[in-house]
Amino acid sequence: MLEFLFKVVNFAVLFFLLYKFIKKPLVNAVKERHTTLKKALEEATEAKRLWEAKYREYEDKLKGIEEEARRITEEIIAEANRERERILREAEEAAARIKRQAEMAVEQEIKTVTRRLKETIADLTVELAERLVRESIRPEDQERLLSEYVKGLRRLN
Amino acid sequence: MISRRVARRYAKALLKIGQEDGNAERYGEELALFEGFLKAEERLRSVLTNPAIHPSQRKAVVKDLAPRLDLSEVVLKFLELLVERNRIPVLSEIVEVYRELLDEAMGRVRGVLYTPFEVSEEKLNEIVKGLEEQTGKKVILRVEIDPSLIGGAVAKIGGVVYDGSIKAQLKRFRENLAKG
Repeated sequence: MLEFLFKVVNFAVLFFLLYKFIKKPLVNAVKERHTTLKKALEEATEAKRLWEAKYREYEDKLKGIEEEARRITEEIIAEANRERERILREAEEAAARIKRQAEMAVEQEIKTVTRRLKETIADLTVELAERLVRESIRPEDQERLLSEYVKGLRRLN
Repeated sequence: MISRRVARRYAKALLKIGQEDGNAERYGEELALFEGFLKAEERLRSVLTNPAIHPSQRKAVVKDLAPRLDLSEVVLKFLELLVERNRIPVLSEIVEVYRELLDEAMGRVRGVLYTPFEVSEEKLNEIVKGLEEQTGKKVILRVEIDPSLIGGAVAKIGGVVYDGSIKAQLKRFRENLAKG
């Protein structure tokens, strides 16, 4: 019984001593641990908030980029359409111009050939006529021509 | 151009004398005769235009020639003056200008009649008359044969051409044919 009592007292003393000397550091350690954890939690919360803000920012930016990309794409398509229309219009104009020039060239060529043909016919006709006149002209013809010439001179008055 | 101006001065001077003494036609003929002689006689020309020979010697040559060409005293003096002043090289132009001035003074014009054949005197007179009616002046015509005309005639008086040739008619005919 005494031994049991001794053990109890001994335990009490030990407990007292432990309480007396360990309580404070232990409490401090717990407090410090609590503070560290709290700080870590706060930091984590802050980090989370920052990341969330960053995420929203990037999300907004992404949305903006998508919008911009869509706008640029639309502009490119519109520009491409305009360019296509311009090229088509120019091609049509060029085709019309080439056609017109070709028609004019053909027309000119026909005119030139016609003119040359007429000139050749005229040359040949006159050559033939000259030969016939030279072969057939007689002194009395010349006399008649000179009489006509004199009449012509008088008609000029 | 300068020689023409010089020629004009001498021609006018001689014409004035000719008009005063009534021998303008004769002086023109004598001048033309001497000029023709000079053209035919190259040696005479080289003597009269040679400045190395004294003018008095050159004038003596002209004086010696004058009776043989039946030149009047006035024309002889005129030629001597030309020799003295070294103007013989412009004699051809003097003759030409003299004729122009004389024609002008006499109210006449000179021209050329081109025909492919010889023209009878009668027909030539008719043509001259017709041209005189046209120009209002007396016409002196020189006839030249040009077979390329084929038929008819062409008269050139001053700057005016009166073309009545077959060649011209054929040319007009060709132009009309070519125009179509």
